[in-house]
Amino acid sequence: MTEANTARGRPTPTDSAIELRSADFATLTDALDYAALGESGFNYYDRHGELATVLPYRELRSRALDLARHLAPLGRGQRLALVAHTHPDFAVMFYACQYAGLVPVPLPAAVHLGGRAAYIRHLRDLLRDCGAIAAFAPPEFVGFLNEASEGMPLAMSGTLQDFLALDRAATPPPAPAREELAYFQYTSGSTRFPRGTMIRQSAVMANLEAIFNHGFRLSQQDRFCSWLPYYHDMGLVGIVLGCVATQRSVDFLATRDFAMRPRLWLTLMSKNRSTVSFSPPFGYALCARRLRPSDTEALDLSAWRIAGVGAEMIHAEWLRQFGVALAPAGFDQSAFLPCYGMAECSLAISFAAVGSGASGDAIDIDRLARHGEARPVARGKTFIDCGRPLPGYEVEIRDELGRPVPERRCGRIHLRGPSVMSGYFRNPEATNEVLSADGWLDTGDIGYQVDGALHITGRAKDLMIIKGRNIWPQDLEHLAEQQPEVRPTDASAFSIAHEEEGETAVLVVQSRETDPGKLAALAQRVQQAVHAEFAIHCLIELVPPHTLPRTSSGKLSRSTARRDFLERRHVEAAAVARTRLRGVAAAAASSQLFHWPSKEAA
Amino acid sequence: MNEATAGAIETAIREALRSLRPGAAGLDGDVDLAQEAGLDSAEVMDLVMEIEDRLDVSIPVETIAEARSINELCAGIARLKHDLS
Repeated sequence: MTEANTARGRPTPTDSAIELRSADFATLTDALDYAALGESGFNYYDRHGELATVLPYRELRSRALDLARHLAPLGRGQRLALVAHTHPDFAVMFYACQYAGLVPVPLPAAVHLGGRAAYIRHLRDLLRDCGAIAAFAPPEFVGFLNEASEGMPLAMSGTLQDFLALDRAATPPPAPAREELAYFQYTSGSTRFPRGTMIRQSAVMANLEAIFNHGFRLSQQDRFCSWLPYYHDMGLVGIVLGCVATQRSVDFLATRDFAMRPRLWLTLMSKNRSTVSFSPPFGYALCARRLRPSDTEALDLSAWRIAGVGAEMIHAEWLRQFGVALAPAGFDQSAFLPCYGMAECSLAISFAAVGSGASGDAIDIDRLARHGEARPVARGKTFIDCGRPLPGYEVEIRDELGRPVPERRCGRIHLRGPSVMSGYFRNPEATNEVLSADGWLDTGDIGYQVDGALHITGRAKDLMIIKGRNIWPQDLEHLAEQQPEVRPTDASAFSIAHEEEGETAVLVVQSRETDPGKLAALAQRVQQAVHAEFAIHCLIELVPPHTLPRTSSGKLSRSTARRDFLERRHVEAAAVARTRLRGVAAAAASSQLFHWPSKEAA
Repeated sequence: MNEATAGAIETAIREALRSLRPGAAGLDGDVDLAQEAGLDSAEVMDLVMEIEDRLDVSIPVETIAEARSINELCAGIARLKHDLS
């Protein structure tokens, strides 16, 4: 960090002192050029909630413009990988890439306990996949980055200071054009199958314009607060790019600091009278769990008018708990703003009506499962209303044969609109799987519409979201298949509903081994491997060969494996103590393997 | 780094662990901490916070990334404290 941007004691003001423009710009640099005329900007807070760095948009622009001269010689259109830790240098690098016509590629900045090797491997895979010309990390992460980039043909790997030492172009690079790529966004946590969505300037600007004119409108009194990671679409596009495009000030808390001290989020919101903040449902749940009654006394959340919620299935109960816990602090549940979106669409597809809170549609779940019909019943399962698609976006719910279905019928959600990605980078196969020639994107999500409003009921693609984290089943299966007793295609991973966690991972593994002791050891090894790489609890079930179901083409069917698993569990639960699981499975799937580590009530 | 400090660090780690998982405070110092105590990523952050507060030290990601066991975590924090003093 340079002298220039150390904290000045005061965060940037909420009122930018220039006329508010609602993201109606041609490019990201046009947006920053305008925001730099005002007083607003980014504010970074440390783990104690103290203001550490202030980066007004004026300064962000001048520093980015200067750095762009050093980046331009790397080559227009080249990818520059940025370890996306919540840090002012990331913002400067990101916008310098914009001014220089390079394509920034945010990389994750999250490491687990003892997870150094796994993280470095992940960074390496991503650097290779995006064909990075150079890579940046803030000081805290540069050690990891430099190890990951060792031996790779990069022009530079280092901190912002290192990039400033590169040769400076004599003239400023030309501003980006609408059709040029603005950034890549890696969509999933899949370590072995990364997919980088390519987003053009025109796409991201169209989405921001729709969000801030039709999703929710802002005023000069609006101020953001965010702990969302910079390497996810909601944090990067919605907050970082969105706040610049609307000249709003934002108070940032690093994701790691939020995870350690969730209350800091609310303290900052209260202190700065923030009006807008977004979080996945998991963030609200974490907050509600850690909150002590005495905490609410010191908080005033009455200014919070938009509490956005998205990025994973919304559990009404989690939101309700948060709402009840924070009501004494002036939080109004009608501030909840459910939304639906994905990186493949830049960010957002639909928003619920502002001020109506999270409203649910209770439907007959059996009927939904059997006939795909979402019929309302008094005491049914509740799905959240995520609102109508933004103007300019078409949504179609389609059945298995690709035919559009009527309202209240479930199917795959397809989408067409101005902010859909150009494709996955260097991956035409994956691109063709989801993007049709006439511009329709298969979202991979399942849902239905009521009066045009989207209700998401699940995912057709197998992605699991566990505690806010994207986990791909093939990654878990791969870990199981690394074990000597397990052959390729002998493992199937999926998730099941879990009361406390929302969703939990399950791995069903086939093995020819019959010795109970050896089976128990195998289950434990798999569990350890999963935990080491993903830091999640995973239920392991060992089954005899030929248990896992295959499709007609011989591929493993995860959805059928899941159904069979639930059936076996159902049978087991019904038989209770009479007998444990039969045969080979019984020995390995002893209660210890199905046992959940006991949790302290928070 | 003297032994008294190392002992104090280990005590703080075990106390922090006890506040999250009462049964895990006596874990073997060399086993995989998160795995054996059954901590997921959110709970690991909780543990790190508890340790930070007890020892009044900020534990950087580098230290977290290197440590799998109580003993490794202890050594990492000890180095940190040594560098600071």
